[in-house]
Amino acid sequence: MRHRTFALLVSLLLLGLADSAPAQTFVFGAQGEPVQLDPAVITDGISSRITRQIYDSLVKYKGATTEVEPALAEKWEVSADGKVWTFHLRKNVKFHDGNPLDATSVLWNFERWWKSAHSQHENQVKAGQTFEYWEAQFGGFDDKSIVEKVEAVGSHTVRITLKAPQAPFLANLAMFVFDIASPKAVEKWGTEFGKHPVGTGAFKFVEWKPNQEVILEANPDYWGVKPKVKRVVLRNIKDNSQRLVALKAGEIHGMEGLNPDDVKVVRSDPNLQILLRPTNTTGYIAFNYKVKEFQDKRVRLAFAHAINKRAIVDALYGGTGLVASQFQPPSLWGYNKELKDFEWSPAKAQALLKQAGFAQGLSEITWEDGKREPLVFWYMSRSRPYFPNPKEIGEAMAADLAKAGIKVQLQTAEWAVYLDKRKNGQLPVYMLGWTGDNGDPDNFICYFFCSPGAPREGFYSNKPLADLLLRAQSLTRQAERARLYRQAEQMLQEDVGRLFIANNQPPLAFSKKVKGYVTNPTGSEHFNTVEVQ
Amino acid sequence: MGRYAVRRSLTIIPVLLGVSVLVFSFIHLIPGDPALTMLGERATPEKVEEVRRHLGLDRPIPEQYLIYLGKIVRGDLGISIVRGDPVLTDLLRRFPATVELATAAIFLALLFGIPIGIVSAVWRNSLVDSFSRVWALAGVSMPIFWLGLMLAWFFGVQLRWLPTGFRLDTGTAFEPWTNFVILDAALQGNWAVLRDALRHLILPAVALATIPLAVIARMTRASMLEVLSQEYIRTAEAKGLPQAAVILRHALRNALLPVLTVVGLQVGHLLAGAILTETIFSWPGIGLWVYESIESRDYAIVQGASLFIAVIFVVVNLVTDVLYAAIDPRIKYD
Amino acid sequence: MARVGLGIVAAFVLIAVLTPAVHRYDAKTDSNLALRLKPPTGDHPFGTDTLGRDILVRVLHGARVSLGLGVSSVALAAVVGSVLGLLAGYVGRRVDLVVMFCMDILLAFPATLLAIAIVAMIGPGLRNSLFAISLVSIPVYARISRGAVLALREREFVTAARGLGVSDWRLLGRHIFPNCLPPLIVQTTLAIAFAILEAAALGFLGLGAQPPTPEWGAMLADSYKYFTSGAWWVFFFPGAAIMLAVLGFNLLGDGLRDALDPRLKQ
Repeated sequence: MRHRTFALLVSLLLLGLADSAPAQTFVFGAQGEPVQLDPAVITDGISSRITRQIYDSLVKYKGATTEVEPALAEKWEVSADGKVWTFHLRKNVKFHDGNPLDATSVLWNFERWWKSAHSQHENQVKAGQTFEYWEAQFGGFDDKSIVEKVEAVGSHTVRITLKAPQAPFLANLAMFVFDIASPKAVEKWGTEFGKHPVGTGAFKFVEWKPNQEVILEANPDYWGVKPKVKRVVLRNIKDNSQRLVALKAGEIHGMEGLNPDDVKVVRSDPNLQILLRPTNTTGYIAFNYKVKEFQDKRVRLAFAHAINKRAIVDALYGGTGLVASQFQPPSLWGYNKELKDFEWSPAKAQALLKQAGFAQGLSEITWEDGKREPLVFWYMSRSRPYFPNPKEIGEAMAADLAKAGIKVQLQTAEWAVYLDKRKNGQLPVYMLGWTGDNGDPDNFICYFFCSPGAPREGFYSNKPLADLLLRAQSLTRQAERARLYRQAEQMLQEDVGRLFIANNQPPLAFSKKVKGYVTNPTGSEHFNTVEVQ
Repeated sequence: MGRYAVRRSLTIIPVLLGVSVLVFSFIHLIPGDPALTMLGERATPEKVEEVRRHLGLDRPIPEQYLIYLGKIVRGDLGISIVRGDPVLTDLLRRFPATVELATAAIFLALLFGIPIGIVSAVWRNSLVDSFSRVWALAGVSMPIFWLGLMLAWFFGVQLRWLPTGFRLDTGTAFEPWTNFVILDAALQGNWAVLRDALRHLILPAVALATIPLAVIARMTRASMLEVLSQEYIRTAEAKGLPQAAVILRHALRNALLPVLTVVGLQVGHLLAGAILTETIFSWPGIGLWVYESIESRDYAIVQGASLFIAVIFVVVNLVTDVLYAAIDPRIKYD
Repeated sequence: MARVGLGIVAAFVLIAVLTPAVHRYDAKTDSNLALRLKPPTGDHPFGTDTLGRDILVRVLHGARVSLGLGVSSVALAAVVGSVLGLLAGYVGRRVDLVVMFCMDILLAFPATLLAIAIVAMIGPGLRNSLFAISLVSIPVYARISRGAVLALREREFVTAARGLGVSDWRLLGRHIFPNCLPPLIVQTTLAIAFAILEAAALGFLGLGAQPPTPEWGAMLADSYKYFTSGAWWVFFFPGAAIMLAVLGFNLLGDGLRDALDPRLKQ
């Protein structure tokens, strides 16, 4: 008997997927397994895709932009000196566990992120769950942080006082890491909270089947736009090709992580559609300035003239890439339209090499400590939006370099090891990139160039640039800041500090039945507007 | 017979110990500090120290080995570095998928390999024989990951006849009981799921069956030829028994004995071949898991899975030997 | 059939030796993004790959990598394995026990798995693949040569030579070893076939040759994700090359077995 009921359920579910009436379930093909579902301690897009459905932040990005609009805070004021922010919380909002959202619970969340002695901070850090983003966005923990105090000044009013004005403060608060969790639930589960997430979001957590899927259901009491589907399933399909096969077969309704060459496959399929995420990502090549050869600007310039970005972008980005002339993508308000890109010219590159004393070409490098070794060009072992085919792009760039007399050997390492070597300044020349978190130019450019001589940036040291960027960070007027960021890009280019290769508009593929999916440059996409017809 | 089984079983103890030493030494093959390599980017010094302690890397090597041995005897194959789950738990959860695939492959290999071998032997040196011999040799020479790709491309992408990945259509609502999907679907009487599961099984099973099929065909042919040349068969033929009866009733029974040994040996190779086949077909068994662990440098899993497969290989060979002895009257047991 | 095998092997050896001689290939500069993923035509009989490289050229140059790896790993295994086997068989007793126990342990793993696990641990690359493939091929040689020594040890000419005061080492090198040769040769041909297949598997898993080296298995790995986009030629030709080369050595090995070693004939 039980079996028959079960079979009936199965067929009902299958019918639900096949029927043309509005479907009750939206199935999204995820690129892998989430790390965990506590937004404060995760850093990856797979996990945050899920947590963004379960939680809300005080403020959120508006539609397809990085402008900030009210979320849990329905309005706010800022003092004239830009240091005191007062947030008025929306009333009658409840966490999924029934507890009310109020000033105390927001305060509790801030203290958990911020104070290393907070019991729920300490035990998570001990378990290896670190609050990396708080540290990065707000200057550190405890006294090191730019946050001076956070107070609950009424049942639904929170006041945050900063030590100095921070231009991207609101944009920061809209990031997924600063989503508000239910204090009761966090205390109940402790370090296991990431497996039992409770927020105020449009969808409630139902189940996490390891290596298969995460299931969420609509929150009927949601304060914002009510979800249009009853359920959301985020299905883990690791392989890009297999994920596309599942989309074509109708097993999932949408997916990200498309092989560039599959973009045209999707475009030519009458049942499928492509949505592009507005560009917010830049891939680059970085030099290590402990390598004597790279201290010579002519050598760096030779690289710049040798690489045929246009050909790479046209061939290897599936039509969604853009040639990058600077670090900020064109969607950012600090972008410098006037900047002319380096011309592609192997002849110029060769001439420059010759001037620099490498008439026979460059194939070996000397480190500052005198060690000589073959010139190794490091390519990434993992596909990222800015370099969707890192190995092929690396090979193509190596071929371009070789044609200009720069003979590199290609090498890679497992992703964590790669990042580690980069952090310690051990890679002579390497590929990497950045995807913006909050739409503020500061987030794009300051992280890389505000600490001159940092090993993680290949010891690149440009003090005037750093000073300029720090000044831009402390200003609040956007027009003024924009001028400084444009100037920064120019300084960076004049020094050939780094080579910017491409921006990408990461493609997402959907069944044509899916309506209302809004892509966002930060990748923060809320499924409450999604409909499946 | 019983005594032989016991004695033969005892011989695997030193082998298993040796296997454990080799697998244990894997961790010392990693260049550099294994703890640091495992943790990568996020390594804080405390964490590195913790992992070193956890792995016992701060102790003398013989002691490390004894600790390791103690753990594996208790069924502790370590903890996945990436996910933090016990290796054995994941291994057992994923093993049914691999067993299902390997069983299907062996089944196909026997189903086609034996008749091909018989036909080849009976019509020795005929066109059929040459054809099947070349074919068998081609099978042994087949890079199965390539064959898998070609099958997936042709039957999955071009013709769209068969699915090219996973055990079921993703999203099929189905709660397996034992994780042997086909068995579960049959037990639950869920024919739609059963049909779906079988459709998903076809391509990977064919790819994985290629090599054992070829080996079994060759072995069957060889041993058939030997049996057919023997006295009693010729006598039977001389007595005027129909050829088919002679072949099936007398020759085949004896010829299949050596084939049995080959099947035993193939089991281990199937488990290794699963790494390649499961990768192509996103088949969620231990092969795909090992592949993914290699990519993410989850050494504990590579180590644990290697040990697990080696133990199965040794045990299957033992069982084959004992079975062989039980069936073959020519082997003396004392 | 052995002749066909010999033909195939000879062809591949010729390709491996001649290609680099007649055509200088620089894998680093060989790409033209404007021509990527073009199906086979007169200009590019095997089509072009994802970087616009001519697949025929890469398959031809890949012969040297794959055959080189196959032959050298087997050569290494043959030397080490035969020496171990000869010693075990000739010295006997404790040496025999220890050597053969080690071989049993290596044989307790499916060879492919052991090779993969070892390279996964020590890190990818051609040299590490060579080492791993070599290691898993050793036991067969040890067993064969030990078996042959044991069989020969009691034979008349050996006893006679010993009676004449020929030293053990000389006996081993001059008399016993040459008599073990036929099975070793047969085994070597088959082992090369196996090694090429293993090397391709490692390359396919990303553990073997690193880019832009034109190695067949790695070429397959690079093109593997194109199976959804319909570019069949990028994975068809490298795989066909692997199969043909392996088949050639297997055919030759079978033929040699029939000719050299009737006892092993099946």
